[in-house]
Amino acid sequence: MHVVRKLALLSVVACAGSALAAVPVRAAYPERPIELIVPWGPGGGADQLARLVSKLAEPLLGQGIPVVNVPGATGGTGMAKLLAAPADGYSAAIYIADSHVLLAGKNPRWSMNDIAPVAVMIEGPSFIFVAQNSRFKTWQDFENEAKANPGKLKIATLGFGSVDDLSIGVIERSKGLKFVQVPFSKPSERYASILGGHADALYEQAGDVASFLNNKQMRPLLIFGKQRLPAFKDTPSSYELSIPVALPQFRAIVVRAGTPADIVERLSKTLTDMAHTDEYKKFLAEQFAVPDSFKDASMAPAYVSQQLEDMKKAMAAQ
Amino acid sequence: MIDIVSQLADGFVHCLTPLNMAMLLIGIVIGLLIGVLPGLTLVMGVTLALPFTYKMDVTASIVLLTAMYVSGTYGGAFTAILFRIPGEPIDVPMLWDGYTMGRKGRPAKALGWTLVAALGGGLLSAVVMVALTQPLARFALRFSSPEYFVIVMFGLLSVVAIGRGSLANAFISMSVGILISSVGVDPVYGTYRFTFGSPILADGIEFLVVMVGAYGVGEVLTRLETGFATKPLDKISNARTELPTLKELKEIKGMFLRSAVIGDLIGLLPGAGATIASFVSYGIEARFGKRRDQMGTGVAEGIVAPQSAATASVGGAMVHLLALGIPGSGATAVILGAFMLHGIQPGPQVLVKSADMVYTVFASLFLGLALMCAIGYFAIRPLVKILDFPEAVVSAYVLILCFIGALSIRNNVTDLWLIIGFGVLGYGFERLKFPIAPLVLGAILGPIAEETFMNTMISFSNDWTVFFTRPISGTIVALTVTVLLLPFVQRLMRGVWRGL
Amino acid sequence: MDKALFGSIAPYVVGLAVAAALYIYSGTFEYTPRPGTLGPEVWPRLAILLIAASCLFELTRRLIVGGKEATGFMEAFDREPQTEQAQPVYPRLVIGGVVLMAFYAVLVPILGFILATFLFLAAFMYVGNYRAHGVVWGASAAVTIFCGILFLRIAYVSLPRGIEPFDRLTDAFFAIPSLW
Repeated sequence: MHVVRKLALLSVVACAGSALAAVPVRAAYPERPIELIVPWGPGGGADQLARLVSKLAEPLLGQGIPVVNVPGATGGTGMAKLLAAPADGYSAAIYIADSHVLLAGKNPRWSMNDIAPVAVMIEGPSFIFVAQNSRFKTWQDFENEAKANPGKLKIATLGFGSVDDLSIGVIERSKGLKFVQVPFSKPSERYASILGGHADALYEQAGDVASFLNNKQMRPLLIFGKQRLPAFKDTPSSYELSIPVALPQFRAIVVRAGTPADIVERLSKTLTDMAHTDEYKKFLAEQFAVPDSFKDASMAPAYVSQQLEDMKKAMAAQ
Repeated sequence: MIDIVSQLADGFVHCLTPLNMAMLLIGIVIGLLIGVLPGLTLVMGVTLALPFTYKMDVTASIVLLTAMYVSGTYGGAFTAILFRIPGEPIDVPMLWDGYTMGRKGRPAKALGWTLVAALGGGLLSAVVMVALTQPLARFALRFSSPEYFVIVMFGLLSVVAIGRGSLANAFISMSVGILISSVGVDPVYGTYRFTFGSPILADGIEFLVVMVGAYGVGEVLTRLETGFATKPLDKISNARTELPTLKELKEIKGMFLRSAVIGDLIGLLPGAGATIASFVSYGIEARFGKRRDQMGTGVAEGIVAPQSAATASVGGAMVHLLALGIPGSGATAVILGAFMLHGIQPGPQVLVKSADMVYTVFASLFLGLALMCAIGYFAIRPLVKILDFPEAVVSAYVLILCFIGALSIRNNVTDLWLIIGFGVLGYGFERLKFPIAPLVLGAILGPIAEETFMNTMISFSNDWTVFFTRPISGTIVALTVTVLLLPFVQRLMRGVWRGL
Repeated sequence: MDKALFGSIAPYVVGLAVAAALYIYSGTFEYTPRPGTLGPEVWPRLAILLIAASCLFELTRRLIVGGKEATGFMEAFDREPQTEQAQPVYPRLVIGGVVLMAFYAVLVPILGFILATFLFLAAFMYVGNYRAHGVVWGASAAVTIFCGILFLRIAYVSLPRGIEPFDRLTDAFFAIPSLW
């Protein structure tokens, strides 16, 4: 029973000794597991990405990548955990557009200067979906109905001030329409609301409702972007209909700003290798993501900054 | 029907492979342990188990996670009955009759009742799930925000009405719980509330901290106050597992069925299925049961009603997941994640496309329930023995488990401070004779209540009459009034000042 | 006003004051209002009003009928005989326990989960009047090591590592082969 006490004492002595010795040589990174923080609950899109990365990148990195769910405050709680950890590359976080939009709002809890994007993992355009049996066959039907009955059609979204809100705001202004936004913080409730006919439409990315699309429970009316997508060639794009907004959902991996460049480089390289595996490509296809979604550490920061500019633009127009 | 039976038979055959059986056994044991440990919730348990399933085939992973889910609804009863510390939110009603029965010298009998209740509730829900997946799922979709709101209110009000002591205190306790749950970012606007400028509060307060703090830490403090001088229970070390006799079972078969059906139906609804099921079932029993006037004094009905409903809710939640692809509870959300990782998309098609897998999971539920009860039967004796350990040692362990729970919710030291704070609050409540259950349930259900309330107001342009005019919601309101408010009003008439 | 009555109404007076303060504070939430939509302060205010109403009710009742303990509306619950005899209580111990827990919360980020837990377990057993030294240290060490292996190597929970040099103790666990 005294062994542990002795052990503790020994380790204290040993560590003090090593601290006194010249600057300790850093062993090859990574020498212990890297925590991947998911600022959202288990089961969602961010969580799935994290668990796939954990599974695929672990053999490439030679260390475990345990996934840690830290939900709360639209991702703010998880980001707070990342920013409280040392900038040593042993904590990384999934960073998505839904959290990024907070930077465009009032009093954000972090800024672009606090984070270093390692890679953009996936980018998927957003859509307006309706239930398969909806009376709206096309976007035009939907728009006509909204014109005839302003403030009656319900669109299920994430909440006020979210990316969803910004995009719908742009539609309302450019077309002179008025919708009722029904906020659901849990995706499952959002989906159930249109399947059960309690809301008329849903703002979402195709990847998150892939099972409903494949099962013929939902269909898209509108895609937010400059062009149509091959997978949904009958769905008009927002720019085609002169709705000038295209805020995609992106999911990136970030570390704290100030992490040594060689560590960011090592992570970025690992993720690049991972992105070239067939399994990851299959994942992107299943998620209806942009095929060249992946951007490594050399391009990711600029991309993430550009997204923020786009969000601010959509917000300023309000 | 014959089709279903033959597919289920195939499922049993698939289930009997060594790998699936091993996963079933492991899942049940771990699920029981998670239920027993205060602070580790079911959802956390299945989340922690998820990494192990990366390298398994999909059927084995789902069997593992489902087994954990089912047995997790049962394990928490042990700590509730033996230590007055609920392992899961669903075990809070177990404190009233289960703990009291144990206190009266029959802890093994109380545990025997939970075992039978879990088995019965689980089996019924498994049968319903296999036979009625599609129609039930369609029925669940008819529920919208107003319906959820009134169900949640039913759950909240039932705990206020059931409790011992002053009604005003119970309302205060519940409202404090709701207020605690509204700290942090609000679900609709994303604005910060009640943060008082502190980043600690900006992240909000998880219900788990409130529950484990007020019950777990609070209970340890209450016992510490007496210097651990009293043994919590007498003559327990030679207790043997006591199963209810057939005669006793016959007496309650009606309420057994009722509770299981309630659990199954409420489990269908996304949100806090099992928790609400357990409270509502207890509330209905306390109002309509044969021995309603003895509820709370350690009667079997008070144990069977919440436990059978809680285990039955698993079936309902799984129906929702498999048939609609929408997770009905935190645990099924993680199971959905496991499906996705293996490239399977639940939804109407999965019953056709992956029928093999689905029926293997169904079959594993039946086998799992039997296995769970066998393990539970033999575990009761050694578990009751824990009560023979020095109380200071057991209490120290309980505290560390509470702390680990706090640290693992969001992997944050802040939650440690919160759990200690709520421990002190729970101790204070106990001393001032405020009931703790409404506080905890308010914190658990507060966010769902608020979101469904706000959504209803937004969807129906602030028209609050929809709660009464929509058919399903109106029915539930009527039920709430008869079950909970009527006796309250009657008493109010009889004598305001004495009665309340 | 006699002392007992004062003691019995004090919590409700405090409750009323806190409710009033929170009601006012809830008016300061910063948000962008939307026409026709209830603000984020509405829901908490409903709860605050319920607290205030309950406190007011209880206050009046106690002032009129005196500080007699109230009973629940389901009489059944009051039937339980009060078998428990009054035991001597030691508020000192409770304060000791709370202080110890606070120490733990302070030390965990510094010493790391492993070391802090080990010390806490042992200290708490002593506070709880348990003096079998061998059992205290042995049981604490066993449980600490068990928790370390379970939550660092079997299932992964992000437990605090502590600062230099204490983090080495946590890192030592990573030498154990993991299951994941």
